[in-house]
Amino acid sequence: MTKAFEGIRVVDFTQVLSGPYATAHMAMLGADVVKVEAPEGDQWRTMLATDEWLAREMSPGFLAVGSGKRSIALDLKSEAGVEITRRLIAGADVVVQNFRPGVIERLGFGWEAVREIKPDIVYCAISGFGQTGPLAASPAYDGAIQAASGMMSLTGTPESGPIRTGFMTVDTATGLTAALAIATALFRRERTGEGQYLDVAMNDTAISIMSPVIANHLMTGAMPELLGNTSPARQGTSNTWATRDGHMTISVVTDRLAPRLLKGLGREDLIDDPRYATEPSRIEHAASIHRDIAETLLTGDTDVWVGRLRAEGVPTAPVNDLPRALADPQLDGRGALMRPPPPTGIDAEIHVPGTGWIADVGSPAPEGPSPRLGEHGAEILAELGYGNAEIDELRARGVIRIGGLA
Amino acid sequence: MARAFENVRIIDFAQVLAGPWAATQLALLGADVIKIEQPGNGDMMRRLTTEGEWAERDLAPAFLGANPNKRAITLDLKHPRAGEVLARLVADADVVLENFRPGVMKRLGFDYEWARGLCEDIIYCSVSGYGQEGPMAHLPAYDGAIQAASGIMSVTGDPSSGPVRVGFMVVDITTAMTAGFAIASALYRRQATGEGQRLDVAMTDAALQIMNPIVSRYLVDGDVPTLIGNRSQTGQGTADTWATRDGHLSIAMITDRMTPALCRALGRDEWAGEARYASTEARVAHSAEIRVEIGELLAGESTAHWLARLAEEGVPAAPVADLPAALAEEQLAHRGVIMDVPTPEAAAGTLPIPGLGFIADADGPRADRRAPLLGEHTDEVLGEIGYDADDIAALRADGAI
Repeated sequence: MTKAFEGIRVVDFTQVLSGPYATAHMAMLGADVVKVEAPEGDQWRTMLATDEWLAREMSPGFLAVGSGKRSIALDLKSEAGVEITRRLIAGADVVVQNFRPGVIERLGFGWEAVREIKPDIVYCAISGFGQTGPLAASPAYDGAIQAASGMMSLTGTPESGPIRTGFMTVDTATGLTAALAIATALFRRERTGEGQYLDVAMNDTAISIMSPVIANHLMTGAMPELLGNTSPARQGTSNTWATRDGHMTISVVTDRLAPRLLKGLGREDLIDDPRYATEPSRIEHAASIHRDIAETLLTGDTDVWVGRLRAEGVPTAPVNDLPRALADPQLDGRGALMRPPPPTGIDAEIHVPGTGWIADVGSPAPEGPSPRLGEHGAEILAELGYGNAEIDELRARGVIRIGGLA
Repeated sequence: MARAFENVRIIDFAQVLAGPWAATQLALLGADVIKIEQPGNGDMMRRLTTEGEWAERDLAPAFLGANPNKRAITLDLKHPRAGEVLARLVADADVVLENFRPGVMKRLGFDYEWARGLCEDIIYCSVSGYGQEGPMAHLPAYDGAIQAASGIMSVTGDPSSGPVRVGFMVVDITTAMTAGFAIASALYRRQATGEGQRLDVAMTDAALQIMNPIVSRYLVDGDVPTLIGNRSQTGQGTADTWATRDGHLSIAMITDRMTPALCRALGRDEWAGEARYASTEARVAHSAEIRVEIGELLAGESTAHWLARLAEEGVPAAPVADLPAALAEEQLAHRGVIMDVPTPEAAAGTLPIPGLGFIADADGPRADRRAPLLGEHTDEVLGEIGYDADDIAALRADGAI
């Protein structure tokens, strides 16, 4: 079945996470993503990796965003490297880059320059704070944006102080923003014939994904507090509690579900208690409600409570660690876990996270393995019209690195 | 010039956040989103976390933030005439979006097969907690439940706090972003193939996906992540968040090249020569003591002082801002991230609403009007699909709208 982006070529200059994550989504939907790497490769290839994967320049994080991409490793600062890149762009639909603002302009592939090569190009620039403005040059890594955007000020308890979300949420959400922006621009190109310049910022994305909290703050002046595990709805029936053997979360925020929660907890004695009856009273009496539930839950095991509450239709979940979360049979057959073929020359079964959705036809799925550094250099050069002798010469001069695999 | 989704019509049955925000992204890019709500109460987000003047109008700030540019009609989905109204709406639509519990739309008679019967190339997107099928499909799912079940809470917080919930609805919103991308992709695919598509978006899947690097580390290497507090995933003692005299400061120094710069900025040149700071492995092995000694120094001066010193030396650092400080940054005004949305109600005539994470040279995301009142556009939309005033009055008298 046809996937959405079959026949679309993406020239991908991005490194590490936000950019490669965006183009991974394009690749899983059939786009031909040509990853242009420096001869030393995307640094993500060697970050957070054990020695074994580090030696292969194939970190788990890289494997999770590399499926189906092709890699050409070339020296962008050489004249021949510039010419190869020009030819690549001439046949491309999308260019994506996440250099620090200003860097790619110096290399000769800013939007204006690229548009001269390919007038209807969709050009996506990803950065920390945007391409222009007073903070454009500020350092931007996931932790800095979590701090600067106000995100950390929302997570944690008064005792813990501000806490970082324990994974690179700004990087991945920014990748999703870029993927949407690119898909949107391609759709617009179909209708108008025009390309588009997309300026994606991690900080803007952070603000955007906090929308409900920020909208509330801006319109009412309410200052969000460190909520710990209470829900933003601030009702005492929505929180995380310790059980006899772990932790579990309950989210009850409606009048309809409150009595069902009490029934599931075996606390029929509280069903007529007015503290539980309405949203305002569940907020006003949050502390005492929290204590009622805490005392009850400590008397049993997580799985038992979760089963009982689910039988009553109460939204609840165990606080899982990753092994348990990933062992869930619910994930079978969904797109959340994928098994791309192993990279060339590596004998291993690869499991990586996929996407948040599946489709009846044309569903996102790996089109191939993650590329070794420079693995497709010769193949891509041949497609661009370079002959074998020229390719050998470019390799000998150090313009391209084939990675010893060709 | 035209925004991408002008003339694309989305019939939006979604409530609360994960569904509505999916359609909102496309609405900001020009789509005509018709929000269908139950007469009487409407979307429960209208009243969630509401205080003050907006409560009376059923326009909670979070609802206003999540539904700009949409038109709203009320329709009792269980009313005998609901099917006839929806048939006319869907026949002209490009996308149907819903986030009921799996099975509900089928029971109501409005599932994908029904929609495809009315509109051959419809894109039908369902958003749910665990997916449309499977052993957990029937379970109710809120942001908090999925933060717990997906492992997000197991990596957020420190050993003393225990698992901590991310303090905003991170799963709802990133699920919506996933759905927005899925819909945009399906619309693009339809241009090429002429075919519609059924999309099944799950909050759990989206949660695992946004934890991409740590999930892949576990799957590939068996490395189980733990409560990491404010340390970096790299485990290096030179990347963390520390208290200063008047606030908190995040520093991420993880390369040998930058070590001397950090030590200079801290006024401890001599550390640069010590083995503990010399390599990635050493900064990981001595993480605990490095964090303590940096913390002792940072506590002695203000955040502004340290930020200036670190910036002079080129060390990546950022202040831990609260929302007022973060939103006061000139950079945000420069970017237009907070959109001033016209509204008839507000005294100043506009409301501040956070937009999307990108801008474009032309036809970027833009809010033209505030989120709708419950049923605000019922007459207008029904008029467009061929109901005259008498028909509309009859539907109203009958309790359908």
